[in-house]
Parts: sequence; C-alpha cells; structure tokens
Amino acid sequence: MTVTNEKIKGITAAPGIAIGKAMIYRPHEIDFIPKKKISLQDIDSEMERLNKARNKVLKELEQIRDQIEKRLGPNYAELINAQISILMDHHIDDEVRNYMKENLVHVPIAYRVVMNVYIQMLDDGESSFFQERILDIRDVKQRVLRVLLSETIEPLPNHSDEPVILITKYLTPGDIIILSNNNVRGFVSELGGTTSHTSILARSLKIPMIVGIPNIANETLSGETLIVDGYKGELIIHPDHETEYLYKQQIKRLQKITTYYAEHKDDRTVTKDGKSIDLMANISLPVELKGLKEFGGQGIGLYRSEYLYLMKHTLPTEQELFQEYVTMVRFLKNKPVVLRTIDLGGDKIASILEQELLHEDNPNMGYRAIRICLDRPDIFITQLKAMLRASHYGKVQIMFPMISRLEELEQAIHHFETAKNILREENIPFDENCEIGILIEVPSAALMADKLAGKVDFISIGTNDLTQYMMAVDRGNEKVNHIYCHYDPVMIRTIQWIIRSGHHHKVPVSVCGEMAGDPLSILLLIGLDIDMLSVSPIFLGPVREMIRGLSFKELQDLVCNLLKMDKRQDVYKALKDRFILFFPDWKKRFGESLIAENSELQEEG
Amino acid sequence: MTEAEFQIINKQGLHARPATALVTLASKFNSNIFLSRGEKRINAKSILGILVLAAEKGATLKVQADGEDEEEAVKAIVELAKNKFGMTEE
Repeated sequence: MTVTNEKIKGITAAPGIAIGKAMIYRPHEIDFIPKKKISLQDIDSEMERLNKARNKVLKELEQIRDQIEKRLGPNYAELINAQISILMDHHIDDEVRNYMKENLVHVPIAYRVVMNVYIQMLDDGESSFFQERILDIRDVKQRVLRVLLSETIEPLPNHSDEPVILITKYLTPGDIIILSNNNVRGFVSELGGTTSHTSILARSLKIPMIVGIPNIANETLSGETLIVDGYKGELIIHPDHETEYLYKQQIKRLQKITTYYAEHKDDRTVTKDGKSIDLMANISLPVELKGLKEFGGQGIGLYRSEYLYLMKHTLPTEQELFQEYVTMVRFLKNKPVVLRTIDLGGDKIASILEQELLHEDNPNMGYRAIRICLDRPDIFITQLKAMLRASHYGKVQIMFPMISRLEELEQAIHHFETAKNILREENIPFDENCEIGILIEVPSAALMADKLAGKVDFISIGTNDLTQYMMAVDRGNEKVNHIYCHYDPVMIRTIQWIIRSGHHHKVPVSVCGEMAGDPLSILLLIGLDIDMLSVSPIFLGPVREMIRGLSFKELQDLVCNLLKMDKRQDVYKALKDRFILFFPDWKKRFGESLIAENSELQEEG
Repeated sequence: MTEAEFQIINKQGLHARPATALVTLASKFNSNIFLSRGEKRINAKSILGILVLAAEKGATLKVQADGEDEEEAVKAIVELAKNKFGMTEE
C-alpha cells in the first residue's frame, strides 16, 4: 500500500493510543476448504480426525469458559456451555459419515455440509427467536474447521513479539478475553457500539478500540503499520515517520500520567479552598472493579446490573442477583455502592419474558425502567430483595431510574417496603437503614425535584437522558444531534434547581452521566455545588487531579455569570476560558487526552 | 413403538439449557427416541436436532420411542416437559 498517513474516522469504543501491524482476524468465517478426494477405506480415519479436532476445540472452549468465568463471572460462562454441547453432539456423525461415503470427500467438507444443513434449517424457521443459536452453531463449526485445516489456515500468530492491531468484523466479549492475552495492542471493528459489553471490556482491559469503520477487515491491509487513536476515534494507515514519532511520544506521556494517577489514588478530592467532592465510579461489569482498585474512588456511584438480565435468556433469580451484588459490596468493604434497579427498555424485557415483542413507536418514551418494574412487581421485588440482602454485608444504596412523578416514587417505595417485610418473614438479615434515591432524568421529575427530594435519601442526575429529554433530541440522530448540549443555559438552570431542591431537604445530589467526566462540565457542576461526581473508572484519575486544582469560590462566581447568559456559545466560551485559566498546562497535565479529548474542548465552535 | 404429545410451557421455549436437559435424559434410555414437530423429525439425543425444532412456548411436539425401554422413555420426557425441563423461571 502506497498511501501514507491515510486517516479514517470511526467511533471511539475504548480510549488510548496503539501502534502495531494490522492483522485481519476473521474467526467467524472460513470460506475456502481445499477439495480432497478420499476412498471408502479412509472414512474411519477421517472420522477419527474429526473426533480429535473436536477434542481439541473442547479444550479450547473449556479454557475460554474458565477464563470468562474468572474474569466476568459464571453467567457469561453459560454461553460457552451451550457451544460445548453442540460441539460434542455425536448424533450428526452418521450424517457426516454418509456424506463422505456418497461423495468421497474429506471430513472438513462433509462436516461443513452437515452443520450448514442445521444452520439452514434454523435460518428457515419463521421464528426469529432461535436466530442467535445460529451464531453458536456457526462458531462451533468454524472452530472445528480451523483445527481440521490447521495446515492451510493461518491461526492467530502469537509467535511473533510484534505488537498487533486486530481488525475484524465484530468481536464478542469472549474474543476480547482470549485475544487480549496475545500481542494485541488495539482493536478495530466494523460493527459494534460504544456501550456494548465488548467495548466496556476493552476499556477495562485498557486496550484502545475503534468501531464503526465499514469494510475495514480487508486482507489488503494485512501487515500495514497502523495507529489506533482511541481519543480521536481515528485509524491511521501507514503513518509517516513524523506522525509515528509523535504518537510514540504521546504513548510515553500517557503512561507517565497513568502511573501518576495510580500513585495518587488516595489523594482526597477537595478543591484548593477546601470544598470536598465525593468521587465515585460507574460500573457496568464486575471486571471494571479492577479500575477502582487502581485509581481509587470513594465507592460506586452507579452500578448498572443490566448485563445480568441481558446475558441470560431467562430472568436472573434472586440468588443469582444477590451473589452478584454481594461480591460487589464485599469488594468495596464499607464504601457505598449505589445499585440501580433495572433500566431496560421494553424490547429487551420482552425478549426475556414473553415472545411477543412489544412494538413501540417511541421506545425512549415508552415501556422502560421503573415503568416496567411498577407494572411487574414480581420482577421488581425479586431484585429489591437481592439488593437488600446484599445491604447486610456493606453499604448499599438503592436507586430508582426514570421516575417521572411523585406517585411512581411512592409506589416504588411501597414495593421496597414489601421486599423488606418478606425478608423479615424469611428471617433474612438486611440493613434496616438502607438508603433509597432517585435518578432524575425526566424533565417532569427535574421540575418536581423539590417535592421528590423530601421522599428520598439521595438524588442523582442522569445528565445524558435529562439533556435528551429536555431538548427533545435523539443523540443518535445525526440530523439533530447538534442540538444536544450540556452547556445550554436550560441545563444550568435545571441542574441548579435540582441541586437546590436536594440541599433544601438536606439530600446530597450527584451526577453520574457523561458530564461528570467532562472538564468544562465539572467546572459548572462544582460551581453549582454538586456533592458527588460518578465517572467511568478510567476518568477517576484525571477528575481527581482536576478537582484538586479548582477553587469552589471562584466557580460559584463563574456560575452566577453563566446564569445570566442567554446562549450556549457564551456559556461554552466562558467555561473554556476559565478552564484554561485554571490549567494553562492542561495538555501536559492531563495528557491532552484522558480528560480533554473527552470534552468539547477539541471541537471548537 | 410408544408415542405421546406434549407442549412446551417454558417461556423461553426449548432453548439451549432446556434442550441440554432433554438430551441428557433421552440419552439415558436404550430406545431410539425421536421428536417431531410438523414435518421436522429429529433424534431426541441430539442437541443440534432439538435446536433445529425451534420449539417456542406453546409448541406441541410428538415424542416417539422404539426399543426395550420405550414406555419409560416417553413417560420421562413428557414429565420433564411438564416440569419445564428443570428450569426455574422467575
């Protein structure tokens, strides 16, 4: 390839910089099998080959299962068990044998044909319900074929010490776990979103990842030098010397900064003038706890346990939920853990509960989160009981999402009391003083914050959804997403009102959305007297460092001025100027990345 | 040959885990056991076969067994389906 420095824009799924040789990873497709004729006498030895290959794959899958279980917990591991039983289904052996007998071809071809028949049959099914099983069968087929054809198909070369950037169509969480043990420094995938479990995993393993670049898993790229810029969401193909040098310098700087953050993880999060702000972590998967250990934090400000519901095909039981929560709570010792009750949309729940998929024209405003819980107290109380049981082992706080009216909060509290009563009857211990709170993310709840605050122990502001709902704008819609903005005067007023309402009732208020990790928003939030910020573990270091360099008094004055402004551009400019005033050396200090690239600082205008 | 019909009452249908339970049970018997749904007829000892039936909740399946323990086999499988294949839901 002659093009140098070609830059391709994608979406950042995990931040960081990586340099390495491109490697195309296509675990899910083996297109070509060399034809080989056999004679009837060979059939037995061919079957023997198949069984040997199966045993090898069995070991592979068992290894994956153990690793997944160790790093993610038993719920993920079950997915692999399904594949193992498909792999070891010997009832297709007769079919494989017959195909070889009739066509005198070697076993890879016969095995592929037979497995494809099953895939085809499932594919033809009217029900989309079993579609995902196709992926399991296909994956098993590919694994067996890879082993059978080991002479002709290049496996992942971990023999070389050269750093590699893996390019693929899509990655499963299992792939990430296995591949991160190799020399893989970065991931680029055609499909995938920033909130998928794969992205979360890449982030917690600190492997930069860019997604959403179509047709990139292309053989012509193989062996090229690549740079993954997981801050800008950019892939650079065949960089020139200068570019590569600059990125290498940046990697060094980042390593130094990361070490600094880790060393200062126990520094108190207070401003220069003594105002203390609690800094907590948002956690979606247990594997992320590692980040907490490395970068400190006063607890978990938001634990989203939705993955427990999404990974399994049935609802998790009270015991399964309890196990998950209690592991978390024990890990945190006596630091607080905010457990959020289910925040799933109707589509997800329907696929777990019933077959008939609920069709909603506008799911964001539909059947989701607390609305489902209040509609299905059985699901809700199971979860509440599990959370309460975990409260016996540490400091648990329970948070209800999507509350839009006082009545809903009252109903939720009613179910919370019911769950407590059941536990009392069952003689199961729990923390009688377990605190409850709400996630304010709906404008109606924001406006009624003064009434809602009187009923809870804490308030958290979900700024992503709140901004979307306030401005009636879908962030995923490119035509309108420019309307979405955290610095809009309406957001300042709204957040100020929520914080004041909370403080009036002596209830602490926190922010757990993206704003909490965005430097300009942090100035704003602290000026508005926020009590707590909860951020993704990778932002714990830079946000702590930032808080320690600020002055609460000055920010309060700044906010007074901001509140007089009419337009978001003015707000933005004032925040940016102040940020640079506080941190003239911000590029050096925060590594021009960990924090600043996350903000709109880079996107002028 | 002994045969019987049964309905899938699991909300999730005959998915990977219940299918595994069914295969495990069927494999304990010496008889040849077949499941059919409409035109599809598969070996009940094969997980791939069972998955291919794509039996969702409410589907009616026919079990046929042929062999020395055919009666016990059919009875046991119908019983397993009644017990939601040992799955605890909700």
